Amino acid sequence: MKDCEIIIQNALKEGRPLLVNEAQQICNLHHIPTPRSAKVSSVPEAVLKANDIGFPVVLKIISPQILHKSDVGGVILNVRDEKELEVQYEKLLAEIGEREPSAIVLGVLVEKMMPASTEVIVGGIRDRQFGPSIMFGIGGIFAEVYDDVAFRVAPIDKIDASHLIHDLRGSKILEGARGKTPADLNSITKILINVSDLMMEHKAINQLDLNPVIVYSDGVCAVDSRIIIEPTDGGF
Amino acid sequence: MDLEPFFKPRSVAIIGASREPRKFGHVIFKNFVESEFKGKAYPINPKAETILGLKVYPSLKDVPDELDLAVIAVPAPIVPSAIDECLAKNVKAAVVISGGFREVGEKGEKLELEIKERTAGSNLRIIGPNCIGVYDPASHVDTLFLPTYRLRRPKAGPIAFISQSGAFGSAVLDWAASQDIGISKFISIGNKIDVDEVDLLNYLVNDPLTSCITVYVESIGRGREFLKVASKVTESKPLIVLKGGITPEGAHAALSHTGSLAGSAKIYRGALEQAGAIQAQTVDELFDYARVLAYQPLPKDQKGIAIVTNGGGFGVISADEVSKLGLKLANFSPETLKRLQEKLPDYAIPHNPLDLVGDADVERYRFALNTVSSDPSVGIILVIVLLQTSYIESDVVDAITESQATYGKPTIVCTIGGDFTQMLVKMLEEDHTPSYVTPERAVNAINALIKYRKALEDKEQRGIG
Repeated sequence: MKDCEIIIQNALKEGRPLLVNEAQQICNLHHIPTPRSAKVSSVPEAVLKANDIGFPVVLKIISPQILHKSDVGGVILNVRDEKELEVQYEKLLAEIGEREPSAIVLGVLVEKMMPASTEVIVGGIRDRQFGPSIMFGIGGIFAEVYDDVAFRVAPIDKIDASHLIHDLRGSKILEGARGKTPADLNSITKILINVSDLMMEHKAINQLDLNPVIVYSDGVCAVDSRIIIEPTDGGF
Repeated sequence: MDLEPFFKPRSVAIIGASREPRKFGHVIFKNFVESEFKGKAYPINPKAETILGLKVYPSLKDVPDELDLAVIAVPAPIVPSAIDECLAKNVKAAVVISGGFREVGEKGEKLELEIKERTAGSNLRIIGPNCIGVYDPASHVDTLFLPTYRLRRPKAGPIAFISQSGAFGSAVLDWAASQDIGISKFISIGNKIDVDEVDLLNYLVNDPLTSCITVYVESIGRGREFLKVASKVTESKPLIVLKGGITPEGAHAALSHTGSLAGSAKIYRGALEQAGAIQAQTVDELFDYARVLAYQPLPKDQKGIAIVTNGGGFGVISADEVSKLGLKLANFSPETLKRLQEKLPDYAIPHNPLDLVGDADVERYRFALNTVSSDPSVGIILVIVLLQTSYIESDVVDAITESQATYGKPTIVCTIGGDFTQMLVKMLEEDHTPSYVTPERAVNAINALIKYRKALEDKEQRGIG
């Protein structure tokens, strides 16, 4: 994964956090499914790419100063057509200009809007005692409220991944409670193992959120990702 | 990395041995002199001639013998020079009992660093400081500075016990002795300047006298090494861990959802599960689980639990607990049901939980236990026997242990009561049948047995995969 390391080292050299599109790139290089997306810097470009990706789309602000995009209006969901896109694109930039005037905007990420389904969180953290560790939980914006998460120390295997899933109080939701179609546990297992590999391989990654990861009966998609990097001290 | 001198020293020096009977150095020396300890014990004290009628040596270098072990019980500021003596004398292992180190702040921390600098590159291994050291009932090494009339020593048995806290460890030892629980080795590791839980697990995994390991820790210094050795241990011996000390949840900067959700307790829980260790939440659980895991065989497969009782209420509570923990009751085979129906009185309904009712005598227990134990759908037997009725005599113990021996299925007893019950509990314990005072604790212990079985299944699957 030399390409990932280049992305990470560049950001570290420039003393800035990883950008949303970079986090997504790293995920993709580790076979973690994310929505189709493109980085654009103008309305016509956005229209072109959105048509290519297919509506509805999501717009996300790309700025090294904005880590928590939603908190400052940096994400616009469910943009249904060209006309809406033109309006929302300008609105996004205006909103950021007003709320984060000092933020340098490097562009906008146009992303396929994924259909709603059960949301989980997949996380990675470099723990002081145990080193790189993997988290799985019932997720989305209410992940902290549910506080239904389990951890395993990386590297993990299929058996660990299965325990991570079944340790949750809410694991029945994934197995198809109340007539819901069961989630694709195989794909969840894969994403957990891929995140484990990612944490093992890139020592500069200190924390990682894939939240939410939307799980379907066939496949999963990490619709938002955040990767926190830190210069390594030669530890774990 | 040889820890043998801590447990089987041929010779031991007690630095700081004292004539004053209440001083730690006196109690420890007395332990070695008055027990069946086979090696030589040398008291070291520059200001005394004799202790307990034995010649005292002013310093280690005056001892006319090689020394395997030194027990150091002198004030903290003098410990570094005692360590120097150990190094000069080529002592293999030292237990530093003295407190006044890291636990008291910066000054103590500096003393620890001083010791570390001195011992770097040497072969001297150190347990402590700030600990009560080692108790080994097989070799009679006993560095506990608590007199035996205050702290009874447990008999020899299959359970090893590592405790980071000395006070906790000694209280538990005293209690274990009162419960007739047998200990293979007890080690209080204190500030872990050198020997830590990782080293001890590495040693105990190969200790033939230990078949089950219990650990009380507040912090694990080498997390990944611990995970590795714990996984190795659990391949052959059950490992039960009680993690004390809540580390602040906000240990990770909350730059992410994961960071804000990652409490250290949660990561510990995950890591221990991964290692196949059984986690205890309370002191009761630590030894509740240890006794069943040390004494009883594992269920051969994940078949159900049979409950045999002479008290309906306890049977019902046990069944509730079984379902609460997601375990399952056995479905008796038609043949078992038929045999039960034929032999049991009409008012005893043959289903699981099997209520033998209040007038059940030993013969009825014997018949019921043999019948359900022989049922292939039964994996584990919980025997509830309330001994307050006059129908039951003490040979119910034989009925229980005999059916266990015949069918080789894990058998756990639940009983509560006064002197008569306690006598039978001790008889059961002698026969390695663990007994518990409440249905909840009994079923929890069964759950630990099943968890360990599942952990072994995981390992087996990993081996294949």
